[in-house]
Amino acid sequence: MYARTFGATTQGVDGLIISVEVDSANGMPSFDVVGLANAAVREAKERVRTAIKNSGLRLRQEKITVNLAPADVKKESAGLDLPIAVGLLAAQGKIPAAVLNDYVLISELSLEGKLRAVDGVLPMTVKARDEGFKKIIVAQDNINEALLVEGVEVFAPETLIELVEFFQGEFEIKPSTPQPDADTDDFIELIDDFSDVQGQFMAKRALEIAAAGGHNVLMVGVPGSGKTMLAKRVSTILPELTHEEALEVTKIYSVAGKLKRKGGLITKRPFQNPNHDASAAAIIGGGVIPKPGQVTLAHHGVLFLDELPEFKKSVLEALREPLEERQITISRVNGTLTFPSSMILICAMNPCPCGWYGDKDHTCNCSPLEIKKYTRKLSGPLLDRIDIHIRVPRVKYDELTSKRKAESSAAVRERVSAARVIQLERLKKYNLFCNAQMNHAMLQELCILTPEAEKLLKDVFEAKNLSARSYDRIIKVGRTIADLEDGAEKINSKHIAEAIKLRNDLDLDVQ
Amino acid sequence: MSDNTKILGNVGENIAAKFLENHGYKIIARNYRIRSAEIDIIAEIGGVIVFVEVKTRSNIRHGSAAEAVNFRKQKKIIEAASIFLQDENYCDCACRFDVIEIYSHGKDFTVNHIEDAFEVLSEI
Repeated sequence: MYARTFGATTQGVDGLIISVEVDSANGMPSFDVVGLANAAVREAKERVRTAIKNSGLRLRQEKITVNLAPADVKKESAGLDLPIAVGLLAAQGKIPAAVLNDYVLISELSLEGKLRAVDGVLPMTVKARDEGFKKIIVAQDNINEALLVEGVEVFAPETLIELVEFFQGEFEIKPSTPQPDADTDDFIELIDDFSDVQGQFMAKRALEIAAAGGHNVLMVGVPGSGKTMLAKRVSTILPELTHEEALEVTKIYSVAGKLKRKGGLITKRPFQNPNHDASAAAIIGGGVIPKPGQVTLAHHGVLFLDELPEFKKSVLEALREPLEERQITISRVNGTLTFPSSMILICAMNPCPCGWYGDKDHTCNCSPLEIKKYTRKLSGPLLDRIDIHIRVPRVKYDELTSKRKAESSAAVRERVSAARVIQLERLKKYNLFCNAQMNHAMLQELCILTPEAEKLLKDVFEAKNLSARSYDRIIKVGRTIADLEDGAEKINSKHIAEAIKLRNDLDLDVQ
Repeated sequence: MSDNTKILGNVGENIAAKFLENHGYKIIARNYRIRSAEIDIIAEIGGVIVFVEVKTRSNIRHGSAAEAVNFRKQKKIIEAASIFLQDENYCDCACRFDVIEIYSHGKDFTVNHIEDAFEVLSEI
């Protein structure tokens, strides 16, 4: 007999509904799974058979064929265990096949017949709803994730036998409600606060501007000046995630398997700081079936690259696309996938290999050649994509021991949020949300300079031989500075002057 | 194969056949041979054709009897079974592969019937 159930798998950060067709008929006993299943799915047959047996149900030994459609897409979710098991029971007449058409089943099975949580439930549920399904069956640890999607009923039986009896109409499973014991998203500990950092007013101001306008930042400074400390606190001054953003972030973490079991919506901005020996695939994403990388995990948050020149050249160059396009397209033989990567990039580096170049009280003992070699990895195109370049000097003793508490993250976040509101309003018609996303054409329209500002910029442009992209970046940063000042209509020379000051890459050897 | 083991094997197969008959099976064929393989007993119960491999042991020094039905042996039985099904026009009926272990202790025998012992593995 033939039966059909619906399961789901992930494709990039989206779900894909899989139609699981099961045929069980007379013939030489066998169990075949066809339809580009990966190892985890092919092994499903052992789990399915044992789970059914241990649930006290008996399968007839028949020729069993399972087809996963669409047949040309690689399936990689262990969550197909449950639809295969239910389909098989329906094919052998143990479950009425007609009721199965309304459900999408997403769960792995344990050998004893319990439902197990899987990754990627959120995008799969979203897809199921979009395709018109109203009822989703998941493991109990996935309830909160599935319930983030409005407009579906979620059922979470504990075991396979409960589900079988539910389909037979002999057991009642109530639609699930959010699990109270869900301690959500404390996967990033955000107890850090901007007030922890004493002094460094210039750097803090730069990071505030970066947070306000979504600009990328490069901090160059001597060892121990607080670059890392500052960067780690940037996500605390970013405005709260909106619901849509939070859903997007949660989807990514769900697919990447980084969501805690029983976890729900991620409400805090992600902060990723990969080690400098990370491969290009780890940073931008990759794999035979492409998985999101660090740039995608930092979506709507902060990607922090400490010791920037220590990263592999290939990694740094691979960053160009995600920085420019705010998404990354990964092409593999098995298909091309696009992942979002709208993050703020914060980089930190020393000015030279020994670290003391440019410091007043230490002698740098690097040769010019060594410094050149050190900074050579940072190509012009990459640095051009970083709007704000600042120097972070050593903290003075008085500042460090000052009793006066520095400004807290909450106070800074208030200003940042206000500036973001102004930008959102201005950029609404373009469907953008921060200044860093503006393109050249929009600058002409949205960033009007006062005549003095215009003259100042012209002088600097000519004196420093700036590139066209540098010019755009200065205006964008200027726009953000103006927005921070109660949204001044025009960008004046003060704003432009500060924006230029925040681009002191002009003395790096690489420009 | 020494004469002794051959005799023991035949004794075992007879015991197995009797065992099956006692349990309601109808014996269709015994020692069904094709060129390279043999099926010890072919029986039928409730419309299901059962191919039985009988293994007899007088001790477990060389592993249990069922363990001796390894993948190579399974493939041979499956090959013979599919030829039998075609020859005898059983093509669209349910079938099953069983193993019967028989252990001899002097004059006594213990019989262990393993239903659904193995299945056809696809070559995909």
